[in-house]
Amino acid sequence: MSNPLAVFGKIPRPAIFIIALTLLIIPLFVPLGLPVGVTPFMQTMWDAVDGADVILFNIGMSPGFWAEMSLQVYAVIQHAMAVPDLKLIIAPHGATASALIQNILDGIGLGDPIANPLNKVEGTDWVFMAMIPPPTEVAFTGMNEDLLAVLREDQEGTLAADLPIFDNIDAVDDIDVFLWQTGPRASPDVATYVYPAYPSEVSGNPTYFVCGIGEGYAHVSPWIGPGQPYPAGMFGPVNAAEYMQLSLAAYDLPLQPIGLKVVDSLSLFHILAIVLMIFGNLVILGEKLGGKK
Amino acid sequence: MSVFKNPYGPLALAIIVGLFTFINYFFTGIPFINTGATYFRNWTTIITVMLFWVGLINVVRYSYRDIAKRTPGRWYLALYQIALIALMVISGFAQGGSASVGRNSTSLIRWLYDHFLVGGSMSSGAVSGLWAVTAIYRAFRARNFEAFLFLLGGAFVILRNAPIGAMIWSGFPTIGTWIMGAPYTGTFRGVTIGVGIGILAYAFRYYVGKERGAFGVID
Repeated sequence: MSNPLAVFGKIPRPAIFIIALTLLIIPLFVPLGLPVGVTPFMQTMWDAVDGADVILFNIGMSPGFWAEMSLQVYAVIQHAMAVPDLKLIIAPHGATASALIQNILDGIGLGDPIANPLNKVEGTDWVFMAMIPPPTEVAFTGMNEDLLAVLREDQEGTLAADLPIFDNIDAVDDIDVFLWQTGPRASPDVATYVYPAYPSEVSGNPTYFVCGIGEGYAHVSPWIGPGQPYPAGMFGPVNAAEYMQLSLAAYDLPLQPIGLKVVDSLSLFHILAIVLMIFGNLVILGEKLGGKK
Repeated sequence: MSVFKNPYGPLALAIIVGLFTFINYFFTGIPFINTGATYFRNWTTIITVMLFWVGLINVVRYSYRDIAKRTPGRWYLALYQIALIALMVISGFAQGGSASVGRNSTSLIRWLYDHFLVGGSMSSGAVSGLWAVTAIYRAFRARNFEAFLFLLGGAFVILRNAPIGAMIWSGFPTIGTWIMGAPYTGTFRGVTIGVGIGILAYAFRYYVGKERGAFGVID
């Protein structure tokens, strides 16, 4: 007996591509305004940044992850620039991150220096450090031993010791929130390199967060438990959008973030995935009903 | 035999370096070991930079082979690749240092980076998303009970990862989060611990000189 639902299994790949592209593009021109909820993880991270005095934002972004990670960087920097008395140290890991961060700063600030509602001063309130060479583990270990040996100078070549922002910052313990944004290696393991040898000691100051493309690996480290320094992380553009929502609600930010439009696209794309899953399984159902092996 | 071809020197060096970092991780309070481990760890930065050169040399070697042999369908791509590599290397050296890609840079390498590498890499990432959705269409089919569980878990996690999932039913994110937090995390932790124990065993064999294949020593 023929399969009456076989037609659902014959959608050509180009058609799927065209549908997917259409669903991705439409919200960029016609925002759907789908609500973005806030997960406890994101609230925790946002609260930590909002209440901090000093943030070290380590960014190891590469162009391949731009879609996911640029929104995260955008969200955190925009928030940090809106919080009074918060010092933000941006540390690019690798040459690719250095160039991409500058693009993001230009995007946030509509020019250089970045426009910010509190007129924060570069070098005093925020700083964009020079590229830190790989590998990250060595850089983080070095930060634990001598922070300013790794954060040696800013992008203009001014030594950290000569920058006012570092007046009371010369060790990892002077940092309230340590952010590590990375790609596939969104792992809390690197925290063990920032701090003295044993992971139990990382539960102290500062609070540690990961921003990455997927949370899967970040959860798996057996030694990270309740109360440990990895209470939250920002994963993917959805979390970035959640973070932006919180910032928009709390501060009068000058720019409407693009992140929310992207999340509309993401929602439609996910629905397409579910619909395709259903179609694919209708074929299986048809085979069962039709008795086809 | 040339000293550079003798595998036992590099093997001994690797064992010494490995032992320093190994002992330093598990036993604190030994200043000599701590200093040595820090010293060796800093080598990694230099070695990483050297590896870029190794990669460059390998790419050029393989490309040159295709060009020299006029490999059909490949030689002109190899030539194009070498030309691009040369362009990036020369433009990088022309300005030099992190400033060449850093702030307000108007260098050629920054322009090449922004307009070639960034665009190309972003496109590759985006295309993989499109391939993923067609893969979901073909792979997530409940042909048996295990496949049904697989697709059920996948569906909940998909609906949890986009805000529209919660709009459809508030239970989607709850169940998706539970899947990620309980079965996934538990299973993956088991795998992680197993892999860790395996690496530990391998490291021990390596440090006592039982694993020497990487240095060309075959017992």
